[in-house]
Amino acid sequence: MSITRRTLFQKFGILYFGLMAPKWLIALAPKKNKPQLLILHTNDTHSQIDPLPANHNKYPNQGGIVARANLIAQYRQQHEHVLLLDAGDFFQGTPYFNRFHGVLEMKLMSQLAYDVVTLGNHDFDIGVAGFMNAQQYANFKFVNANYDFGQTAMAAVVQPYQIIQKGPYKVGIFGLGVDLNGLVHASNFDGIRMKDPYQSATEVIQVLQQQDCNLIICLSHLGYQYEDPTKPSDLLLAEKIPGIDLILGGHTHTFMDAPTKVTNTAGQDVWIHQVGWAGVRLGAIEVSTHRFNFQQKTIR
Amino acid sequence: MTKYFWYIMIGASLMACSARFTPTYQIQALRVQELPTAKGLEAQHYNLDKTLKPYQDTLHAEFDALVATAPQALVLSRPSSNLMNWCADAVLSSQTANKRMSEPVICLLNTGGLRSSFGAGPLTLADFYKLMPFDNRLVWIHLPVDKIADIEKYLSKSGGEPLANCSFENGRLQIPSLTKSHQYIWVLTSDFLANGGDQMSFFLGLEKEDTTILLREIFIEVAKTQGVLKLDAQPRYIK
Repeated sequence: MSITRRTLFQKFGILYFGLMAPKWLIALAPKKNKPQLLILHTNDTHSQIDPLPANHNKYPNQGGIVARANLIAQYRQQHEHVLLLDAGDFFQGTPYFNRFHGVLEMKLMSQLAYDVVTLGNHDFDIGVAGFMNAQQYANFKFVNANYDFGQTAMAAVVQPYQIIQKGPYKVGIFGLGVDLNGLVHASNFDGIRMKDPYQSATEVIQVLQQQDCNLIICLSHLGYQYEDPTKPSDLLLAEKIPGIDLILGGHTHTFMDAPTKVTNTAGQDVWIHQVGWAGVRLGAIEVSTHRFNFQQKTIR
Repeated sequence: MTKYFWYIMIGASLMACSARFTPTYQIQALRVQELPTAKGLEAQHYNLDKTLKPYQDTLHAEFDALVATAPQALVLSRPSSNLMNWCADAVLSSQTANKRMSEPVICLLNTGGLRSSFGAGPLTLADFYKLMPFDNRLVWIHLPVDKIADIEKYLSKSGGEPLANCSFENGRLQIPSLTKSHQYIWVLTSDFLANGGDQMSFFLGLEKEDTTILLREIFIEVAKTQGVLKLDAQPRYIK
């Protein structure tokens, strides 16, 4: 019997950790001697630096940068190869942003050692100049492949993709953003041109494949799904554009209890995940190499 | 055993010689973990406390001031909710002294522009910044009556926006003060929407006046005046 990604996934299943995951479950996580890659991810944290208040109608006392840091540290103790990613909209939503204009968000995300993030529409809420001022405090990378930053200062700090080597994994990470027209004051993205996200994705995937990336991740702020089939979304991206392994999304604030698997036009599996908003959840995805095990079972 | 050994060797050789890259990983398992409750947690990692404290101190000093009290939770929820109604009513009530109020006036905001619900109990300045973090300004728009159909079409698709002085029932906007003799109504909205934000393109090109008053300031002032927020949970969007 051949083992495909699908059967492997069914075999190992989706481990869903509800509120207050017991420590013994975290202890089951692979130890450092296993060549596994752990991808931690957030989206739409919206300047939620403190936990949500005790009288919050849905998530009382949840989230907050301190709880996030503690959890990330736990995972890093358990895994050698860890990526920490964000799918945009880290700005806007609490007075921290109104008062300090994104500087604190950048400092804290840097201290948590985020690797790569993409931009959401609200990350343009203080315009290009405001963003440039805040990003001075960021020591992580910004990616977006479908905004043409033209002559703006952002062209120097936002790249279409990043490639990060983690153990045996050569990971290509690119970003896609939502059309800012109608979402952001035009003056806040003056000089930035929107490009077709599908075309941009196709082009950047080709580059990443030419550079022998063995895992391609899209950080997307397109949104998970819309009623309007002409509006770009993560689900449509996964179906239409071959070459992506994993889409970590944002924008629609979608809480998913499990990742969605889509078979694309090339017959490949693509996984999509998103973790709601306000830093209430942290996503953790394990990727494993089974090179020779995989091949033995295929031959047999 | 020998047979299997050669199968393995041939398979491995084929892989090694393959010019085309073959992915050799599987997404094996995915965990979604909710962050544990923050009560009692301290910043144990990454020296966050040193960074956070001066910012937190400044923020609490400036934004913890009590503004009003919510008698119950005010929830942001389409198609219509007590918080959506309260926000639209607050905008309308802030303009009662305007002479245009002698003509039909409605308030239309956008649900996406309101960013947080209120829990029951004391409401601080920070709560109002979370509700309306944007520096959106109040704008008056002179809307021809024949453009009301565009608003109806929009509302049918959007699934519910904050409304005052009107309701949306079975696809039609009901404006009690509107008679057949009226050729225009006034719409109170934000500068963001007046400029076509959230696809409200029907506002583009119309006569408008930007009051330069921030919607957030209106909410704060109305809440202070009310003391205990006056709520109306009556649905204003009925399909």
